Amino acid sequence: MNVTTGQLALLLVTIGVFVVGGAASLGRVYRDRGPLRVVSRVCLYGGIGLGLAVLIWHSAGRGSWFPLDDNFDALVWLGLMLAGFVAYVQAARPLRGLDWFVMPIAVLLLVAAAVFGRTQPHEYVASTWSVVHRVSSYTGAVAFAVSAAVGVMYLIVQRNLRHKPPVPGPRLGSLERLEHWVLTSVFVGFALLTIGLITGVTRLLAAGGGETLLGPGWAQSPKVWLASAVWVVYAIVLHSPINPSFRGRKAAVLSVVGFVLMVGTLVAVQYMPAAPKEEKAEPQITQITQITQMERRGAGASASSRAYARGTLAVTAGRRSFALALGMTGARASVCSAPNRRHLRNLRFQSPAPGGAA
Amino acid sequence: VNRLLLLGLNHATAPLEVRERLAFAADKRRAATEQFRDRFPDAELVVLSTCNRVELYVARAAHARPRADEIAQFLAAAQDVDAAALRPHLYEKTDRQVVEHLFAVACSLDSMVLGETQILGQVREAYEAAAAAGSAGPALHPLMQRAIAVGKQVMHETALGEGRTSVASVAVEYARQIFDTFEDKTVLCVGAGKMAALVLQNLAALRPGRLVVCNRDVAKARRLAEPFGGAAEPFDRLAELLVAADVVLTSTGACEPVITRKLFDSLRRQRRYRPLFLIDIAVPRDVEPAVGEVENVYLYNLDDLQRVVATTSTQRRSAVDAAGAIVARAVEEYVVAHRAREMGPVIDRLYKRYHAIATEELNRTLGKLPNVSDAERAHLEELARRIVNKLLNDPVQALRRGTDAHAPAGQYLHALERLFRLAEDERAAPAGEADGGDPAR
Repeated sequence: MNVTTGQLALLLVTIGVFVVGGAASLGRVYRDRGPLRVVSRVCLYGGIGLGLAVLIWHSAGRGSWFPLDDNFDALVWLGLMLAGFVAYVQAARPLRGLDWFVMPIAVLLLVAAAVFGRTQPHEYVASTWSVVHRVSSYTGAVAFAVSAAVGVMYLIVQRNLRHKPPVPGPRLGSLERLEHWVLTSVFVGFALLTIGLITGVTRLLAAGGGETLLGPGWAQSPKVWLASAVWVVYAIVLHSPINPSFRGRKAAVLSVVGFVLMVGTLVAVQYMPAAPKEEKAEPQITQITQITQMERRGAGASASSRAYARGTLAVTAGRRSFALALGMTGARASVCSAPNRRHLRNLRFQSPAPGGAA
Repeated sequence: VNRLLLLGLNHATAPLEVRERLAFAADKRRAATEQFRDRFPDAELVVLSTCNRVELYVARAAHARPRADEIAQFLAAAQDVDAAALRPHLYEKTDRQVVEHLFAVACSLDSMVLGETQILGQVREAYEAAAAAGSAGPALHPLMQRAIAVGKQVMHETALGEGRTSVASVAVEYARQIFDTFEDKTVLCVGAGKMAALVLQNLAALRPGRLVVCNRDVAKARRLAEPFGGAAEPFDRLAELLVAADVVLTSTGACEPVITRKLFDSLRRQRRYRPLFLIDIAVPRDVEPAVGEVENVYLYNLDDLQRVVATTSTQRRSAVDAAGAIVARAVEEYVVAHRAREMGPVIDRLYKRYHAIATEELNRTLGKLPNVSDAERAHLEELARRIVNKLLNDPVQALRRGTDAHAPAGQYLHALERLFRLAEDERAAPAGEADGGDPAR
C-alpha cells in the first residue's frame, strides 16, 4: 500500500516538532533558560511519539509489521532510532549539544522519507539472511551516524582547546566523553556492519553452485568496494586500543570519513547495479527452443531446463535478471546443480528466436 | 505594618580585620539568632555572613523595636567587639533600600568579584538557617525567596556569572573540557611555589585519583602535597611521573624549560598517546612551546589563562547594565506587590468602617422620617454609599499609586491607621459590633 496523504502529513508534523525542538535547543547556546530546555525535551519525546504513530499507521495500512520493508518505512525508522538515541543520552546523563549534531541527521532522514519514500519493496530474495542483512545494516548505519556526529563535536571541542579563544564557545562535553561515544558507536556499528556484510554476501551467494546473484563481475562492483572501504575505515578506528596513536582526533576524523563513505554506499545501492553494467541487450523472450539448445550442451543441463520449463518461460536477457527470475520462481535449486554459469553465458549470446514459441 | 531594616558592613566599608571578627560561623549564627529572638520576640531576622560581608536583615512593626542602634549594639555584643569602633563601618538601609540592596547582593552586583556565583548559595543558606530557627516571618520569607529567584534569573539571563575570574578556575575549566572523570587521573605538579599551591588547590577539588608534587626540594614538595593527600617525589623521577600524569602543572623557577619536546617525544609511546593537559604558570616557561603542538597535548601558559580572565571581567562589566535592569524591575514589582499586600487589609478596614458609620447615620435619620417609601429608602442608601466612596477615593488612590522615596508605603499606612484609628478598629473587631459604638465619635 502506498504512503497515504495522512501519513505524509503526520510525518511532516513530526519533522516540524523536531525542528522546533532543535531550535529551542539551539536557543540555549545563548541563554540556558529553563523553558527552552522544557520545550526542546517535550519536542524530542513528542516527535518520537508522532514518528512511531506514522510507522504504526503505515505498517497497519500495508498489513506487514516487519520494519524496513520499504524505503519510507526504513528511512523513518532510521530517523527515529537516532532521535531515540539522543533521548536516551539526554535522560541518562545529558551531553549538551548532542541534539544539535545528531538531530539534523534524523530530520534529514525524515525529510528524505517524505520526499523519496516509496513503498515499492526492494528487489530482493526473501530469506532470513535478507532480513538479518537489512536490520543489521540499518542499525549499523544509525550507530555510524552517531559516531560521525559525535566525531564532529570532538573536532570542534578539540579545535577550541587548541586555538584557545578567550571566549570559549558553548560546552559540548569533555573530549574524553565524546571519544568514548565515538568508539562505542563505531564498535556497535562495526559489529552490525560486519554481520550486514556477511549476510549480504551470503544472500547473494545463496544462488549457490559458485554462481552469485551479483554475476561474475561482482568483485569489481563499486558497491562491494565502497562497503569494504567503509568496513576498513571503521576497522582502523576500532584498532585504536591496540595502536593508540589512532585515538583522539584521528578516530574522530575517520568516523566522519566512514560515515560519508557509508552514505555513498547507500546511495550507490539505490542507483547502481550490483555488478558493472553489461551491454544492454534488448529484452527477449527466451523460450523452450533455447532450452533445447542448452540441453545439447552437456550434462546437468537437463535439470536446469526442467526447472526452467516448469516456472520461467519469460526471461529477459542478462545474467542478473536471469538469476533473479530463477530465484523468484523457486527454480534456483535445480539450476544450481547444473554448471549454469556457462549456460547463462550461452543465454546471453543467444540471438532472440523470432517468434519461436514452443 | 512592617518595616524593613538592614544593618551591615562589606568589603567596601570594612577592612578584612573587622570583617573577620564579625563573621558568623553556623553555630554562632544560630546562637545569635536565638538571642535576638529572646530580646525582640516580635521582630524577624536573617543573618547573612560571608567572607566579604556581614548583614542583618530585620523586619519589625513600625515604631517597634529594635531600632538601628539597638541592632548595632546587638551585633557588637554578639561578636564581642566595641560598638563605637564598629559604627563607622556599618551601613544602614530601610524599606525599599533594603530590597534594592538584597537583590543586588543576591545577583552578585555588590560582590568584590563581580558576578561570582557563590553569593547566591550563601543568601539561600542564610535564609534557610533563619527559616529553620524560626526567625524569618511573613515579611522576610517572601523577601528572601524573591531575592534568590532574582539572583537565579540574573545568572540565567545575563552574562554576569559567565566565564572564569581566576587563573586557577580557568585551568580547572579546561581540565573539565578535556577529561570526563578524574578518579582515574593523575595530577602532577612540578615545582612547589605559592602560585602552584593556589592552582593545585583548585585541581585537588576535582578529586583526582592520584596527586603528586615533584620538586627538587622533596621536603617542600611534601609540605605542598600533604594537605591535598598527595605524594611527594624527587625531581629526577620527572620523566617517569610524566608517563603516568594526565594533568601537569608546572611552576618551577628554572631558567630553562624542564619539559622539552625531545623529552616528551621519548615518552609518547609509553604514555600510549593519552591526552595530556599541561598548565605552565612559570615565568620563564617550564614547557617548550613545541610540546603543545603534539597531538592530544593541550598546553596552556600563564598568558593563555590570564587572557580568559581578562575577557571574563570585560564581559561581566558589560553585563552589569542588563543585570541592573532586571534588579530594578524586580524591586519595583516586589515593592508594588508588597504594598498591595500590606495595604489591602487596611483599605478594606477603612471602607468597612466608613460604610458602617454611614449606615448608622442613615438609619438614625430614617428613624426620624415617617412615611419613607422603599424606593426613597433605596435612593438614600445609595446616596450614603456614594458619598463614602467619593470621600475615600482620592486618598486610597494616592496610596495605591505612588511610592516615592520620601514617603514610603509603611509610613503612609501607619499614618492612615493612626488618623482613622483603624488599628483600634482591628483590635475591637473580634468583640463584634454588638457595642454599636463608633470609636471615632
